[in-house]
Amino acid sequence: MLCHLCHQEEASVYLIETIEGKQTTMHICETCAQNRHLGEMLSKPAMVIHELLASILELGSAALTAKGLRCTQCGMTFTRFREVGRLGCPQCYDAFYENLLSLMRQFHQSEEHRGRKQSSAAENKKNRHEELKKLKEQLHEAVTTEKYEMAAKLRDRIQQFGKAGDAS
Amino acid sequence: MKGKKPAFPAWLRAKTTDDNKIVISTRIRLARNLAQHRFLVTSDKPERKVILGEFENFFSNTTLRPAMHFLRLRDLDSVMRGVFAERGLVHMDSAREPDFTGLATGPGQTLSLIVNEEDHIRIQSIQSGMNLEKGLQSARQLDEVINSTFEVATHKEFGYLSACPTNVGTGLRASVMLNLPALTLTRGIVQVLQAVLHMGLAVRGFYGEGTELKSVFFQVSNQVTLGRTEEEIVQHLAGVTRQIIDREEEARRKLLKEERHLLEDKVGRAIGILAHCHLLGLGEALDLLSAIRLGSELKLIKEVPLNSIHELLLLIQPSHLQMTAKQSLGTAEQLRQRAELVRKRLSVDFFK
Repeated sequence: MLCHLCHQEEASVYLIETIEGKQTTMHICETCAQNRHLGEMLSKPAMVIHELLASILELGSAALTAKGLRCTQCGMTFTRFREVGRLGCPQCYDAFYENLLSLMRQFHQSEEHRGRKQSSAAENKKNRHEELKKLKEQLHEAVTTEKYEMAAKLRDRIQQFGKAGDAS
Repeated sequence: MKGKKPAFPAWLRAKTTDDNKIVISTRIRLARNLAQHRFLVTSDKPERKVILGEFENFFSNTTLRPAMHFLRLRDLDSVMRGVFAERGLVHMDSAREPDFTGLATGPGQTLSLIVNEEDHIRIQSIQSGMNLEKGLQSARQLDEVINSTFEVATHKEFGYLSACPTNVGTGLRASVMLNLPALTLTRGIVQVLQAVLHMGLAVRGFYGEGTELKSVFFQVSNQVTLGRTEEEIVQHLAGVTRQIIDREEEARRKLLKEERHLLEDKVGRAIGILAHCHLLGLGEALDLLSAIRLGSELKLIKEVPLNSIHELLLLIQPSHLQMTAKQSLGTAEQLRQRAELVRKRLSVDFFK
């Protein structure tokens, strides 16, 4: 008997499949059997994240608390994250911290980064960025509360910051 | 057609070494994001435009070594975007919706950086043959420049942050493209790939996720990105790859010894079809080229340079065919052009 799929090689594998409760049987060749097997095996990685999220949310108390969770920075909800499998912004990692922790444990079997960290130059840049942001906020407050002497000092410091930034 | 025809990727210029017989190319990808911006699912068009602009400025104002050339995908026509996607430099999705995606490439397209795909930044290094360490080294150099120029999103526990939590930590995806015709012929492939999956690695077909698998090219990569160092990830992948290579070599020896006629028949038929066909599908072409590659390596036929076969693996794909033809081609016309291209190419290198 020829293979039901390729109609070329001799069938040697008896395949029974159940699709939507309906059972079908097929005689196929070894090559087609291997291709089918490979196809099933290799379509898996794309599904992993959704399966993981589903299993985490269905287990334990995390499911109850996660329902109303929302990231204040970007407005992403945990429910939506579960649907799309992607987070909304870097701050989501803190907003959904507890739930993500169990996801990390399951997927990565770890919850802590051990690889390369940002160099101190990059770290400095980050700190400087935060300091600059703070200075600008103070300046804004000084102007709105009409503390002009303070505002002038703050403005000078911000300008200095810009120059140092260019040099680095 | 708009845009200059890009140079052929340097990572296809393979040297015939033992490892290159089975490993076609290796890739290193680092996912990075900007701390002050939202990820793709929540960001709006203006925000994506700002990010793209920042990188355009960066690449035009920074002297990088080696130099990199930045372009907006939207400025290319659909054929050229498809060409970049077929080379694995951009995702198929951005080839279709290119509006805010940018691509910077270095000499020979071995080092590249993509802006505004799933992550704000993806650095990629593609090397010919088994070359994971070199790839990691060159990706890291660019990563350091990016980290000291932009405010990159990191987390005290989760390391580098990405849009998908399965990529956090190192943000590293290391992968190898393998040609495993003997394991496929001897039906050992399913068992070998199952073992690979058990070792925590992912396996994909030639065209990435969701590809219908009929060919003999496989991509193996790490899944876990958190809790291991970059070196550990790369060494684990290299170790498993070494074992796959051994199994493929064993299968080749077995075939040569026990089923030489079967092998010669397969290779001979491949030559026959490719030399005389006038309509050629992509899947069939991949299988036949792989058979010729195998025959050449096992010295069953006159040696065909690896370069020629690797170039053909790209040139027979739809967008590359259209780039060569300098016009858009329907499916039927692609079958014809593909057959003609392969006939011509192989007659130069092989049927002289």
